Amino acid sequence: MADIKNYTLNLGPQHPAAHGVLRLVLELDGEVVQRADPHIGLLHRATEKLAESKTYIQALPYMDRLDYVSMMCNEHAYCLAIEKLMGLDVPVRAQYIRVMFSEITRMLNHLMWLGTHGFDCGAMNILIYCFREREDLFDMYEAVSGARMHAAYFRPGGVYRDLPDTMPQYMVSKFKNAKAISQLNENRNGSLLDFIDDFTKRFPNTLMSTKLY
Amino acid sequence: MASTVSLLQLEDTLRKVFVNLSPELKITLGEITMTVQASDYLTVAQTLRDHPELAFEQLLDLCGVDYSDYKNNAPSAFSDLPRYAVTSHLLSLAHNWRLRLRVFLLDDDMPLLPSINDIWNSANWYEREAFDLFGILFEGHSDLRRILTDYGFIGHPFRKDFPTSGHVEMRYDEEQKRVIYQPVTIEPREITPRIVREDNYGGLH
Repeated sequence: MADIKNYTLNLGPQHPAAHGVLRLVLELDGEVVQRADPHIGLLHRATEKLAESKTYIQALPYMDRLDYVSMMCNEHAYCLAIEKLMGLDVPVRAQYIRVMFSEITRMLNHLMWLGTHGFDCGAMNILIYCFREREDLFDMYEAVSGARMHAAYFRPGGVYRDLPDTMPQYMVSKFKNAKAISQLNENRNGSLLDFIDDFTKRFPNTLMSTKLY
Repeated sequence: MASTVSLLQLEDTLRKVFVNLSPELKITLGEITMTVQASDYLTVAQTLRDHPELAFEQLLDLCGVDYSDYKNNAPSAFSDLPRYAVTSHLLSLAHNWRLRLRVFLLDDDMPLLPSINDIWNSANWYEREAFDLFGILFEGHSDLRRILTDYGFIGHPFRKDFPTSGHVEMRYDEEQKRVIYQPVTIEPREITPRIVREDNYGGLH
């Protein structure tokens, strides 16, 4: 019988079924992968190296980009570390704002995985539903920091500025008339906190809201 | 974060277990750091994992540190110490303990340390990373290749004497019809604004 040698196969770096870029050098015995040598690619963004030549506040926006679906959570960790090293006391209001926005970030993150995971499994609708809710959470980001993704809102010792008193509203355009706009602005007539409150009320069956309302 | 009582308990246990080595133990901000000699590194690591009163089953992180800025500038606690250190973070689920283990590398020109890959499997890629970024050599590592930098990369980018913008840049050359490397054309900028304040600004000094 012929002697069958293992077959070396290159997989990647790009593959339509892969989410990122990963090169695998595989050693195959028939269909069985005997050995895999991953080449993880140029993943490192040298955030530490870049921060070496910058001030602490200048390095803060890099934290948004470490994991771009949990932007403010990374800022939070960075600020907490500096505050711990300096022994800083942070105003309670700022702590509340930061925890609230870390939770908003967490929801952004969960809606991202839920939507894309559903999409990977072949469900189109869940992606659209999730991204619809993400849009409102991004509006909260924008209201407070001016940026929808990379907010750079937290600061060592607090936050960049206080919560706004009014929620930004949609304006009438040639695509949407006054009636449609007033419907869109229904939950945007109060402050940012009112808008967030309205968001939480969309999920009446969750544990927290059944206890509260 | 472990409570203060269990931290002190861990400190006591470490002093008791490593009584012959007299390691340097330091508790700051609710975290404990143990600094050991490079010659003791392997036995200490083995004991940390296998001693039932310590039982650090997991290695969470391992990285290189370059202390050259601390050494060369103002006198500091690091002035007389070697340039490189390797720091690892250990976790014991059995005791709910965390430990930072630091070891200084004796030779600045050829930083060499035994590999702890056989003690904790997770050290494999971390040691490759420390080799790639700091040029620290791990003796006995089965597969010490670069992991994060480009194929054919020269230098160790996280050393303090490596410029942030690197040494070479890559571009497509129209005449040679291929991608070429050339010395970097960008220059470092001063980006920290210079702030001049009058004396006694805000009553601060």
